[in-house]
Amino acid sequence: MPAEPPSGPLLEVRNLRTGFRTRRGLLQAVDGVAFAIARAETVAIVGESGSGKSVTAMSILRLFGRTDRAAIEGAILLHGRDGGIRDLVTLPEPELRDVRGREIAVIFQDPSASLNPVFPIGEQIAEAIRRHRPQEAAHAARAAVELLRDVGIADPERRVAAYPHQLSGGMRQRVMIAIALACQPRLLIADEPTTALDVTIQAQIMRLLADLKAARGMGLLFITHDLALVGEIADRVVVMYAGQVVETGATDAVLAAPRHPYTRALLECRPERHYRDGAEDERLLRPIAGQPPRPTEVAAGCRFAPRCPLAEAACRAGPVDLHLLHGDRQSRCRRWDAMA
Amino acid sequence: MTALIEVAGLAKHFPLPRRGFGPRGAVRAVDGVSFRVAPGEVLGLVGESGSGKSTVGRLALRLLDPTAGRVRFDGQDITTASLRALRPLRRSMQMVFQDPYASLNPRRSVGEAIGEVLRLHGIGTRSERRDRAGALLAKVGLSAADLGRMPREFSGGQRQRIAIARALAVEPRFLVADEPVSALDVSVQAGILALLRGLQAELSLAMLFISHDLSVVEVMADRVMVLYLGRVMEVGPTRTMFTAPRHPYTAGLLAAAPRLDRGAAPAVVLRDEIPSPADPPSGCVFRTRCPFALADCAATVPEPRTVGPDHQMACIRDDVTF
Repeated sequence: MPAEPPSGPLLEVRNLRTGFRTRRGLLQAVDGVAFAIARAETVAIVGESGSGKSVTAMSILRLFGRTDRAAIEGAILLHGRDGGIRDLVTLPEPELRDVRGREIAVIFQDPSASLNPVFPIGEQIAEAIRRHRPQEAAHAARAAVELLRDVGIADPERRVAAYPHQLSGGMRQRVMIAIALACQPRLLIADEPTTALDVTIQAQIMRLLADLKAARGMGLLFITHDLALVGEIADRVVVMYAGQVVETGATDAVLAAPRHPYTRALLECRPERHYRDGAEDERLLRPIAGQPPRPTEVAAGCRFAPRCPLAEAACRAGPVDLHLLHGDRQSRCRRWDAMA
Repeated sequence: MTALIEVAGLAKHFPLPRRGFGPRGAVRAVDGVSFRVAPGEVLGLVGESGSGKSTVGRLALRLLDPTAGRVRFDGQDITTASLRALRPLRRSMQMVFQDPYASLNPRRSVGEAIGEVLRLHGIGTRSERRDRAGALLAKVGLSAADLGRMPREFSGGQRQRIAIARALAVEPRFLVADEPVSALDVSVQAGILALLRGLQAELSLAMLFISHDLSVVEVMADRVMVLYLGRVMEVGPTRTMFTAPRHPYTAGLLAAAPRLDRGAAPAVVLRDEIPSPADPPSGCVFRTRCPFALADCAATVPEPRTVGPDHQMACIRDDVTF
């Protein structure tokens, strides 16, 4: 594989709008999302259920079924190894199939839903290699063993013959990662890959992802609801709320000094306990009041305004744009400077 | 303080299907667990999946019959009490489950769901029960106007509030909360935890709070017990457990938990995964993942020993600190 220059854009998402046609009209799950991933960079999208983070990830490879009746607008530009640019929103399906796996691979929260229960795992990894790298078909079985070793599965020569049900959840996620890596993708999308796992296994998978990413120089798009995981892995973070990007910037800067009230509330709602000598401990439990809006009933103004302690009349009057603060730091808050 | 709930030497072995003519195996879900919870105290129970924490919760309420050991409630041995004898006690022992979508009957209004519990325990007249259900809803942050609404009209967090109202309707003295916020978004979790904590203090409830999430247990519990493969690894006051753990497994769990300030966590890396409870390792069940295991660890099951005020752990090593 030709070495890639270490910087430069890999994927650019511009004004992405993904909706689902339902009997009650169009549900706009993602409404004007834009971000970019540089080569070998890790970007995290963080948000709660209904924020549109997973729909954004699924839109990149158009991974919706026919019954989803999804409508994707905007542009998703993939910069090729040769410098060519393809728009994944309009790319014909046969060519997109080529992008899936070979250029961009995906792992999901639930590995058992993605693995075929009736084939041994080695066979499933080998099949991925044969499909996307036919020139290596002859060595596919051996490559499968090596991939299992790469993802930290002990005794891979024996384990290739195992069926998915014989493996734990953590092992199955490692197998999914092996399948994703089979074609040496340039971007790995990981959609809540550790949410179903125990903390000790989560820590192992996070370390594995970081190591593999560094060793292979791939880009990583990490989707999560957990800001602490973002801090462990991502260079930059995109915070989503109700289908929109509300804040983006370098991870350390965003976590240390959020410039959107939602980001700050998300940081503060994590339970904390401060121990006091000779006094009652301080237990901090600060929920975000109210609920996120349903996609059918988003407000005309700032979508977070109904839950926001800083909201004023002007926030509710009309749409709030993303403000460019400095560098690549952005906030969709009129009052971002009131948060310093 | 005297214990409200006290279990001693509790074990639960689930038999496995017979294979051939060999001896019949068993999943040793819980093995030799003892603890006490005082009135008004919250005991946190942590461990990975397969550690037996949910089974312990069910055994403590006698929703499961133990294979061995005793369960005492308010001084009374209920280990072998008949269902009829248990019935009046059931009022004093309630449970809140993880999934608020599964624990409420979708075809019953909220008022009916709460009223039914009161009716089963023969409390009040129909209209008194209705008033009481309305008052309970107000107490958990909803309103009496919600009585006629159906569960599907509520969000996950609101449903969990309804489940809490229902559990508290009969004025229990002991509550088992099994992963009560794990199915909820983080922004909603804190509200449910604050509610549970407030009600627990106000009603002086004894509570067994089960969670895989260490930060949630840290904020809720007065004492914390760590389970691994059905055995107690360490138990102690919350502050001690989180700031000065003594058992390698506790330290490993703390190290693995994602946190925003990485500086404070111990640096113990746990390898591999929890073994099958059908075939636990000999000696210390944790030794196969323990970075500090010695040859001796395979030979004998470590007895819990006191290492500080109210603080016990089951590890033979004295020479490691985290």
